[in-house]
Amino acid sequence: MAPPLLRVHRLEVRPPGAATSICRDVSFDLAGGERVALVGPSGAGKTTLLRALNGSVAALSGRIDLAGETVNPSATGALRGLRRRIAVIPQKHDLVEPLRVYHNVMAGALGRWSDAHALRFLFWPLAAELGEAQAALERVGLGDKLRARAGTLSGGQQQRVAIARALVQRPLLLLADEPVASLDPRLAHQALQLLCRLAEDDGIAVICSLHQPDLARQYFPRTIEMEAGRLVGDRTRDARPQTVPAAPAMRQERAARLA
Amino acid sequence: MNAWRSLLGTLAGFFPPDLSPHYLRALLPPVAETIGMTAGAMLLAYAVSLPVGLWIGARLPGTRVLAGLLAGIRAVPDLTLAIFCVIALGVGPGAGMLALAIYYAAALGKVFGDLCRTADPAPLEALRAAGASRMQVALVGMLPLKLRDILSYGSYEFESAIRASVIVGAVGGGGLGAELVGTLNAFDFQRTATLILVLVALVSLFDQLAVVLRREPRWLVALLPPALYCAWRFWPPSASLAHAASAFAGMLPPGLDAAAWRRLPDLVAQTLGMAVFGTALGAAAALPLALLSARNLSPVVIALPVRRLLEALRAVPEVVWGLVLVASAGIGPVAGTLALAVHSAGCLGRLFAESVENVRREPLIAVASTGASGVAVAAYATLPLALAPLAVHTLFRLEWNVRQATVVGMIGAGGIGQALYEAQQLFFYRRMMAYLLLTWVLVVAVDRSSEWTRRRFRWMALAPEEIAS
Repeated sequence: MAPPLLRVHRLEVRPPGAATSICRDVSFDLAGGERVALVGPSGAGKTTLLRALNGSVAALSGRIDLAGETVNPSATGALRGLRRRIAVIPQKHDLVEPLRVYHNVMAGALGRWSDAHALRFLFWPLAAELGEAQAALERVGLGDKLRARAGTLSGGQQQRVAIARALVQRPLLLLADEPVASLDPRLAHQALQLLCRLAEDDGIAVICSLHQPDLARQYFPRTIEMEAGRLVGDRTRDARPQTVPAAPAMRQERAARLA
Repeated sequence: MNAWRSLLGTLAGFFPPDLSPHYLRALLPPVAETIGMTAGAMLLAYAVSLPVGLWIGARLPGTRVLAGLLAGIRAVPDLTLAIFCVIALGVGPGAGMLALAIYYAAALGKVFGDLCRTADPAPLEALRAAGASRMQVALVGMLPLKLRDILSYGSYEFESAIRASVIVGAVGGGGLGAELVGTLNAFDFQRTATLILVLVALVSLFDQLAVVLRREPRWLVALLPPALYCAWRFWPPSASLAHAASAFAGMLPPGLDAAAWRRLPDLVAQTLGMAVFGTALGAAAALPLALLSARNLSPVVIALPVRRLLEALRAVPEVVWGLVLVASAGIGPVAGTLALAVHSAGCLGRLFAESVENVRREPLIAVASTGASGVAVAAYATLPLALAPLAVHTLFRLEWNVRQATVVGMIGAGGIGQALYEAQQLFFYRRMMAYLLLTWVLVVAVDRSSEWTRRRFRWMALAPEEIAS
């Protein structure tokens, strides 16, 4: 059997300044392209686990292997190499608002660009690069926003720009921390549906923390449950086919069109 | 090449500073005079600006006129005001003290007025409902509510006032400034260096004092008797006040002859050029220094020394840099531009560093989590996010530098300032008055266009304490 994409083994994390460990004895494997929802009450350690996975906080003990390599946040070069292969979609839309949308989207490529390339693109983007940004934006349904200032977009649009940035990064693994927490229910369904479909198309594995169990069941074949820093459940649903369901709003629209 | 060699040669002449006990003892009277002038002036400024601030805060009749008057006075550069007072009252610390008192009364009056308007409306409403007049609301409502703020904001001006008192002294207001000009005229550069060191020490001493006062504003009361003594000691005799009235009458109506009108466009261009290039050079130097001294970008071993360097650059006022550079690089706008640039680099460096430190962290983290290098994070997140505050600080500095360009002009850097100074030296007071009015128009015009630019790009206003520094 091929080794898993991600192997977390007896991980314990205590962020700097914290009195006790936030994650304890966490172990799980993730296969390439697999989609997992991380559920649990707030304070269960979901965010800390995600931050440990991309090397933002160091593990106190245990180990994390990504594609056969051990995550070690203390070695800067290795950390950059790791982060290049892990994309992050944060909870709050955190675009660089004074820059244009294409700058924000192509920020996903900064990990593989040299500094000189990055500085040149800031002032003098080439047609091919803009084409890549445009393609990513079209996949998230924002094809007309290439040159807009990021600050002029709505919250939902900013979220989709963050997803486009993650696509441009061409990662092996996508970490999303409560990506729908600040969206209303209808937009939340649309965002999750989009995220999962794109990840499936590109073969990207996803770990997505959510606090709504129903959303987790609906969009993720596998659910990992955390409580007080420990894994308390790991369920894979096999009975149903592992395809992405359409968002309810779209289902209604389709029903309306058929009727 | 030769010019550079002579510049460096003269600068080398400033070392080592004359620190002999004999000379340091001789400096005690001018230091005491400078401190006394400042203390007396600040007392007078407080005495005038407190009621004026309350008046404006309470929106009593005539508020608009009063606010306009304060804005008008603030647009006159401090050194210009000092020249005016020296003419009217004769050479000496009395003129210096009055010039400072007028300038800071206008500055504090505006700050106090703004502060009073931020008073919690609920208690004031209650007073009004009880039938209190607007005056009573101001006295028993706004004043007690805002007294602490008024005292602590007032102390911000202390450090700046002691610097200004040296500047004012340089044109005949007595104290350290007169001593400074004396050493430069005598080519006694080692003693000039001593005086600059004394000034830097004095400014940082007053800075510390202001920090203590902000924490414990009650201590200001202890400073009241000595300040009262100073105000009384340096108060110009009534004979010279009468002389002032007739001197002022001699300046009216302002007028320029045809030759002066023809020279005018060049003078304006020189002054504006010094301000613009000085600000641009200063900002260009400040940016790398700010990045090197920002806590979130640079390691402590680099950040701390750069911070000290920035402090040293801004502790010495533009005029003093101007005096040194005019003495070493020669008379002309180049010396003035460099003087403005050096001081601006110090001020903007610190403000830029704070702006860079204060950007939102989330976008930075998001860009860094794509595997971007430190340079790429700075270029794609930190700098774009800090750009608006950086621009606002630079524009504020430009407004300030237009005033200072006329000031360094007076000590030989050219432009309107120099023309003004020459007119005063030759007793052409009506011409001097015309240049004074022109300076004022220039300052107001630049302030307005800077304000328009800030509004046009929706660059937000900054907190008062940021502007005060």
